[in-house]
Amino acid sequence: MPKINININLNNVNTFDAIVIGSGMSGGWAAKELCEKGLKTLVLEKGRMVEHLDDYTTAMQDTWDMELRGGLSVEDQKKYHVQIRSGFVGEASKHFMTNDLDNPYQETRRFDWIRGNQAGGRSLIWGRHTYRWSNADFEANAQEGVGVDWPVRYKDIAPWYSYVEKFVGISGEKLGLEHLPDGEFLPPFELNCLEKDFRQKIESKYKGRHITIGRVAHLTEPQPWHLALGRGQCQTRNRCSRGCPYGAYFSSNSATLPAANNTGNLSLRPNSIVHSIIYDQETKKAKGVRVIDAETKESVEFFAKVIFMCASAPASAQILLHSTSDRYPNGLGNDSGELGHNIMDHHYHVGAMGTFEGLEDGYYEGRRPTGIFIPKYVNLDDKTKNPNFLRGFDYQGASSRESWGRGNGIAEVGGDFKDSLLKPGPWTMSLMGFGEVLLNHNNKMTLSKDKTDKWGIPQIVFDASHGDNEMKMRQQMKADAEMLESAGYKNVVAFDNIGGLGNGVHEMGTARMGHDPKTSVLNKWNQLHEVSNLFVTDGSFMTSSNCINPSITYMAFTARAVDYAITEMKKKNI
Amino acid sequence: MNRREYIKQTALFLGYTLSATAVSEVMLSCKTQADLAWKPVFFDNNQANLIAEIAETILPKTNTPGAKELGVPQFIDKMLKLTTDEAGQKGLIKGLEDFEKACSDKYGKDFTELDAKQRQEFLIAQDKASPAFPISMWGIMLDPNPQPITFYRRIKSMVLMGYYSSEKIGEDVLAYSPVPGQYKGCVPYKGQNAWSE
Repeated sequence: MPKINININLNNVNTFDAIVIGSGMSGGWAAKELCEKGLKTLVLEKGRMVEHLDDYTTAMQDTWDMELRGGLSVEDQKKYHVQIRSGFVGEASKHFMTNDLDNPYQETRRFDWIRGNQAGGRSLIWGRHTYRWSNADFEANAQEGVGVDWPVRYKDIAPWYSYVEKFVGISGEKLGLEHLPDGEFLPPFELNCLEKDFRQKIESKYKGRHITIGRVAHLTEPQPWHLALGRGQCQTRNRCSRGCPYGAYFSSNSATLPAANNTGNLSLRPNSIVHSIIYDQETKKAKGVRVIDAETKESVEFFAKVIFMCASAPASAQILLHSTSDRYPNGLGNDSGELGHNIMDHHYHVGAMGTFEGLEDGYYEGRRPTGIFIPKYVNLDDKTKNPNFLRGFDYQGASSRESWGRGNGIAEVGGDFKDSLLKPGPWTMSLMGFGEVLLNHNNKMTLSKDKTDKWGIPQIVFDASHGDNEMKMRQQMKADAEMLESAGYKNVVAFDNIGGLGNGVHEMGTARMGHDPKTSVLNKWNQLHEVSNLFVTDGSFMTSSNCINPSITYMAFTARAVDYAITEMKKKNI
Repeated sequence: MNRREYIKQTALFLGYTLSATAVSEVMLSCKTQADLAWKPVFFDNNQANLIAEIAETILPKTNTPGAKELGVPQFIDKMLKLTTDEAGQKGLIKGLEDFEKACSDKYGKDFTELDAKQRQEFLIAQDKASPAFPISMWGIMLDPNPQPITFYRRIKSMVLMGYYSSEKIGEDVLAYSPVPGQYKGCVPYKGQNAWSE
């Protein structure tokens, strides 16, 4: 497979058919679709190049191969001082997290902005859970009078879910639930001994609660189109966030960028910090993108017929807010004043864990890269209505036999203690709730008037937090997690440590879509109401957040938006 | 983010420092320094010797190697130097001094002068007096108000990590399977050692 055409000296060639800003989950899809439709496409990536396979430097390391056995040096704790709020930064994958010293932002209220600025973005380090929205999820705003109505319904997006799921490769189990639609699934991972027992107990005890294996973007049975891209079967190593040497989980690097590259239409320019969109007042279109080279600090301009913004919800809003002109003094396409408002996320870090006595004669083989999933079961209808909060939550669960780490909780020393820890310990189960963050106009980001980054771009000022609906929902999430106790688990401990908005790493909503240009930034095609050749297809467009992992929805909307853009270009409407 | 790769041992080092309240100036030892076969980078020789004896008491040599044989004291010394900030380091040395004082108050001797039974008895008492680690899942700390971690709790966790995540234990003693291939959710367990993770 040819290497991706990396263009760092594009001064002679700075006009393309299409420009994509960002190469993560959404940007990879925009690039693939645009290139496959024959458009010469430039992808601008803020961070460094990460070549599939070659740049997964820690992928084959064992714990003892790492100097700090997975820990972080004092120097790295400073370098990643915001990123470590997520709990996910360690020696094995820190190089795929953003350097906080170089990428500062301001927090009027605490906001945990967890980023991966490199080719592939956070698609390298994502949780890989993929769930479809249901029609009820799209209708909720209109029915409850919250925010604005989604201009899209399930029937509009369902074919695009199918389209992206087939290419991505999703393992999962069909449940036939209307509120969590089934997708195009590869074979599911198997439940372990304890999960099978838990499923039987919970499903017989609680009507409407289902236990299933996580639906994840892993190739459990690669199809010909996966193999053709060099992707192989998941080897159940569970070292995914280092980059997969088998290309077995979906990332831009393993899938969409190689597919785009195979067309010969792709150019990718790393180290390209987007300063602003260049607006042409006469044509009322975006004519190009002003870029600062991260290394030389030189300013370069690129031009195209159509532009896709896929930089992440805060970063795309930052670029638009910084793209000012006589016509748009408050940010490009921001007549509504909604740009930068309505930031949402998912709230989690609430649930319970416990140990199970029994099943000591059972174990597992392999390190399955996912756990169980309990779909939303509250506020589905009148019968399941909870009077205390709107919307809902689900749980992801982790279950295993305890490892040697349990020795930290056993007040013993000596030879017998040492040897006992070489054996698997008791079974444990942890349930982690994920809840919807209800949109709130006052949750917002703006640009700092006096603080810039080292490239002179005004820093984002976040002023957002969780609200009353989330707090009430969490009480239920914590209480319900004690279903472990009713299933006979021992030592059940409930927890609730909410942290800042953003630590769900699902920030979204900063340029929401809607029917009315007065109250929304984008139309139902992810197109700016006011600038016809500018599309935003990262999490910015989300009109509400739901409680499920959002990436597959961004992918589906991105593919749909490209299809629409191409059609409109053919009609000369763009 | 990858919420699945919860490496239990890693969590103990992230974003965590010992309580640094009431940090005293580190007292200069007036004793002769212990002879060591290695040169510590964080501890002085007496402190390193103490850590080594604590480690070997927790995980002594049996038919599998002991903590000293696998370089656990050197690992702890290096980790404290590289992964603990200045306030955390001072807090740890203060904790070490408190540990020594508690030992001499109880037995009239240094820890390294105790017999094997006394050593075990003292460490188990220290363990019982130390609050448990705050709970975590997927490496995320889930206790909003975690209690400070005592010197012994911290050192014991590093002893376990240094030992069980070593190459010798990870590859030769635990069940090592770097590329499992298929996942099987429920197979019979027949008394074998746990998977190396």
